[in-house]
Amino acid sequence: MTAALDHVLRHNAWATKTLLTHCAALGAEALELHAGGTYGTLYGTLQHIVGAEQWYISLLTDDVLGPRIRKTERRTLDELVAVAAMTGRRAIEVAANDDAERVITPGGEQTTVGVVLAQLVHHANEHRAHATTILGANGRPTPKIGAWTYGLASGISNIDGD
Amino acid sequence: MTDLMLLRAIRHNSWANLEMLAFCSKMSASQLEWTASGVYGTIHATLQHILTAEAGYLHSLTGGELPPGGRPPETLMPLDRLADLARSNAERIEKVLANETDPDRKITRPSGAIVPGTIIVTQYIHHGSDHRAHIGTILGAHSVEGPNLDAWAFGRAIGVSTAALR
Repeated sequence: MTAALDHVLRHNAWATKTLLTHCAALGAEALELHAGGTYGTLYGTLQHIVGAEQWYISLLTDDVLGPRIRKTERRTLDELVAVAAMTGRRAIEVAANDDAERVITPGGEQTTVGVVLAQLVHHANEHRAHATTILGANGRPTPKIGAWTYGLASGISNIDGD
Repeated sequence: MTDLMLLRAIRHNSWANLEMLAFCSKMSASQLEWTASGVYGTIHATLQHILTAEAGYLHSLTGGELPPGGRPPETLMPLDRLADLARSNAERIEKVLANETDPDRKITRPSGAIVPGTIIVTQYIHHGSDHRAHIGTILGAHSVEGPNLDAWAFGRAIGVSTAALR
């Protein structure tokens, strides 16, 4: 695996954890906020990010990491943080050890490991944007979760957006 | 040599930019000025921001051509010019990845900040999905269904996948 892909996946895990931690500090009422054109409530969006990533990892490894995240069952943000930590680590392991062109057949359909990992990265970026849009639209503070801040937090750069 | 896993993510980004531009090119000038609360700006400004930011990242990575129109651009470029820029960015980022021999290479940004090239590539991927999501939000807020830009659709478009999953 290239160093760049390693950072893409580490940024993904860091950004989800940072967003979840930020939202946990806002209190329960904030979790019910929503904004037009996004996925749903802030909580629903956070759960969807983590639940989808859990599912992508199960497609790639046949393992469901942690308690199954279902749309119909509400989990605490601490539980979502714990599951996201496991799926984030496993995504890095998959990228390091698997073959991007290996074919997998979820539900009788056909796709490849590389496409699933691209979806994992895209999906979380997209829905984290929904979450920050909800926060901004409701006058709440938004976390800095771009790669610049990730690099700063990881101690490998001195830039926090420019 | 470029990691095929990374190449999938980069090519998805390039494909999604062009799909979004193709979708938006069918919209009227007034629709391109739509916006929504909590996003970057109008649809047109967001499209331009995605592509000129990528050009800026490429400038940092290669020292090559500066992003067009200044930073931030004072005027909006027509969508066909943005599509040209998207195609140019797509070609250039693949060359950068193919030729990069030192992943720890430190790069000085215009602000003077120092950052590894790998972080710029990470930001490149994050930034596109983040702002395309803003456009999807604007479209949704105006009751318009946007294009399907997920990697499942990308996989089908490049012929490696039949899946149409969530």
